[in-house]
Amino acid sequence: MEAIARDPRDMNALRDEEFRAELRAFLHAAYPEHLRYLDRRPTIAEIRPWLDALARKGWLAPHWPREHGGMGLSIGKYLIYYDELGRHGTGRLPDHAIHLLGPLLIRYGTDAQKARFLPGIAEGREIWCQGYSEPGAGSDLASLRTEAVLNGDDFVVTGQKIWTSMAPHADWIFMLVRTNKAVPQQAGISFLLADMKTPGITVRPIMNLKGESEFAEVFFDGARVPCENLVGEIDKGWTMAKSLLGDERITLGSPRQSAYALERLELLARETASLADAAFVDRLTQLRLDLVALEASFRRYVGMAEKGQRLGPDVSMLKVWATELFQRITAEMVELGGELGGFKRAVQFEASTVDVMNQYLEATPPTIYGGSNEIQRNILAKAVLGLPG
Amino acid sequence: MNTAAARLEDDASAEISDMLRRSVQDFGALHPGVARTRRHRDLEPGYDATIWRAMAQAGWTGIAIPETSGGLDLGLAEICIVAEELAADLAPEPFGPATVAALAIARGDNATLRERLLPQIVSGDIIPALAWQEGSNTIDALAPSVRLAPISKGGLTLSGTKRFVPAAAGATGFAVTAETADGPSIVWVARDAAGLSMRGDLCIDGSWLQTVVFDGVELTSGDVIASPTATGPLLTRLVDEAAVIGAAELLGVIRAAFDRTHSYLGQRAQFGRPIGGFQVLQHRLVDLWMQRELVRALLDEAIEACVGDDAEKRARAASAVKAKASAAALANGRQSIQLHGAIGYADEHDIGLYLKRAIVKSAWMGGAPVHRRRLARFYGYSGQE
Ligand SMILES: Cc1cc2nc3c(=O)[nH]c(=O)nc-3n(C[C@H](O)[C@H](O)[C@H](O)COP(=O)(O)OP(=O)(O)OC[C@H]3O[C@@H](n4cnc5c(N)ncnc54)[C@H](O)[C@@H]3O)c2cc1C
Repeated sequence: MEAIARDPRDMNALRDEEFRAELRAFLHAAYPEHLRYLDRRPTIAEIRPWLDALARKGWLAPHWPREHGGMGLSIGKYLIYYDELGRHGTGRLPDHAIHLLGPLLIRYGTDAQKARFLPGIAEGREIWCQGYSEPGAGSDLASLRTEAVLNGDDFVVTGQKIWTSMAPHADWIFMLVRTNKAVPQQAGISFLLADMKTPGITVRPIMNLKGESEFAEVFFDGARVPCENLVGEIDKGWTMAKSLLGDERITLGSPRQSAYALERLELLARETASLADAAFVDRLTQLRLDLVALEASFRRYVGMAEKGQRLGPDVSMLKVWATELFQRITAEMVELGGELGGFKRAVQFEASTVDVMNQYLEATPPTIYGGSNEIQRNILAKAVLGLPG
Repeated sequence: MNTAAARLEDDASAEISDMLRRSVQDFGALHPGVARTRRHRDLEPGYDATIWRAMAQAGWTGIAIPETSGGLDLGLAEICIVAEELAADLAPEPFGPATVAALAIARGDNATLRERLLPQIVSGDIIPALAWQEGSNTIDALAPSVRLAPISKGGLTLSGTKRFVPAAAGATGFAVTAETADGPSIVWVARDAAGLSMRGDLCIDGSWLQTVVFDGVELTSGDVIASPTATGPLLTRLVDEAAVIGAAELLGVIRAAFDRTHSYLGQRAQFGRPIGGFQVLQHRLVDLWMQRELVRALLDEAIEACVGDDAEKRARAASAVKAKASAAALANGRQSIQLHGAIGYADEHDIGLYLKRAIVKSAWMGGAPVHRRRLARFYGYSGQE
């Protein structure tokens, strides 16, 4: 693994199949075998060798421009990249900065900010968490109240974030803060970067339903953040953060998790001899058809994006359909498993194991985060269907 | 009986029901089950033995046991009340499974054994478990592969494996279904019998399902709870009643999750108003409420159907309520999380505990697909060309 050197090639020049082959070869060489298809999020220490291997090859930030240390992939190649990682069963990386912060800094950051922060992200040296949600500001994010008050050369930050994934392990946090209370909510929000070691910042981990301390509360008690850590103009944070949501919506609509869960369901069906049950076969076929339809819709949007079209609000349909299909597949797993369906650990059969409960619980939050499915439907109803209200 | 007398009797039994329901609720207020579920989860036996004693003191361990053995001698309706209320409180103690096991013993045709075991079950000294199941996804208890064979005059040996026995780690003995040369029978095996071993599988709600292995366990004919003649009708009825008790537990879980979600929608404000004001969430809650009411209606009918001797009517009603309750509990659990948002995915909030209990309880005595399969036969949709 030490021998990996930065790959200087432009991967967009490869044909899709060649690119897949390259990715697979790299995954086989560099991804730790014992961390494949893990039924939990790997710890930073566990995933570190993979993080470093990707970073050394220059493959940690697939969609950033090459001049900033990314791979510069087109949207099509970018999705292939995630597809192959998913197929290999790689664990989730601490990737909030790669997805959200990097693109935002590239677009709005000063040269000094880019020079200071981008290399640390692309090289996997600094782990970031995303501090948007607050106890009182979930779906209604614009009502956030964590306040940053200018005092000399610093912002003094007071308030609280919650559901901050990876916060207990993060070196830095990128966050939305209130800098102006005299204007409409959206117009008084700024985008700030804070070192998690700053005095006045404390983290309390929160355990999720799987028993993992995945997310946390982050408290700010007069934490002083230098004003050069403000990204973009003051009070313009909302517009900047919103401008990046399109990309997120297409990745949240990826069929990958549903496809994997369906494979597990098929395996469970074979292990329990359920394919002889006509009623089950009909339900399974329906789920497969729903997946086929998702894949077709996903390819359609990828095709549009590859032609350079800007994706509209209708892309939300992918997220809604993908996340709910994931839930329906995993609910079927639980019912089909019967007594085994409630086992906390993966179910051992003679020839294989099926992580029923892990899949089921993993499928629970995606309809909540990334804009809940209710909020997505509100958007579709208004922005796409033009319904009144 | 004339109608006035019947009405009086109805009123009296309604009053007993209300009192019983309230006493279980009061017990829960004093000893909150949610806290015990948290404290004992993932640890064997998965519940609090001192609370089991307290439940015995309240009389619930003997709810279905004849008064002559110290029990309350109440019927399925009352069992379901206690089961529903304890489940609503998320009590981890095995009231449902242990009551089913007690019923098996109480209805057996071995009077000597009954006289020995029943008073100790009432007092809480014995916690019985019924070991009938061998494969997943079945409610067929009449064809066990565990074998009970004679070895000498009056001597018997028990061999084979039972699976998915709930709360067995804390059980002091097992009512085991076993095949003999004359058909299936039920035998009593003490937890510490030589040749008995157990392996637990942890479930998502923190409880355990045990695999119990009988490796030539030596017994005597005095340990036979029910002879082959008694066993067939006993098990046929008991499986249906157990499914109904399971449905009552699920109704309790559904109710409690619903109440919590209902009150959360009233408290949680986003966009300057309680989220319960958003019409889409109102409709979701109405849908959950309807499911709850449908389960309740089926439960009442199933309890009634179990009183009579019409086996098909009983089986139909039992499968109907268990199929509905299992499916509704799963859907209700997940929807409750959704309506809570991220806090529903946090372990420290209780709503997730109800989902987890619903998952495990929906499978006990057959999940929805198992009971739908049986219903399809009753409805004439399957088993014919
Ligand atoms: C696993 C996980 C990881 C997360 N990681 C992060 C992170 O790293 N950083 C971060 O900032 N946040 C994170 N979040 C938080 C996430 O962004 C919020 O959960 C989300 O915005 C929803 O807010 P809420 O949980 O407060 O739910 P609420 O907004 O309180 O919603 C509760 C329910 O009401 C519904 N609802 C709300 N408003 C409406 C409406 N107008 N119409 C109809 N229905 C409505 C919702 O859809 C939901 O069903 C994470 C969440 C989860 C579950």
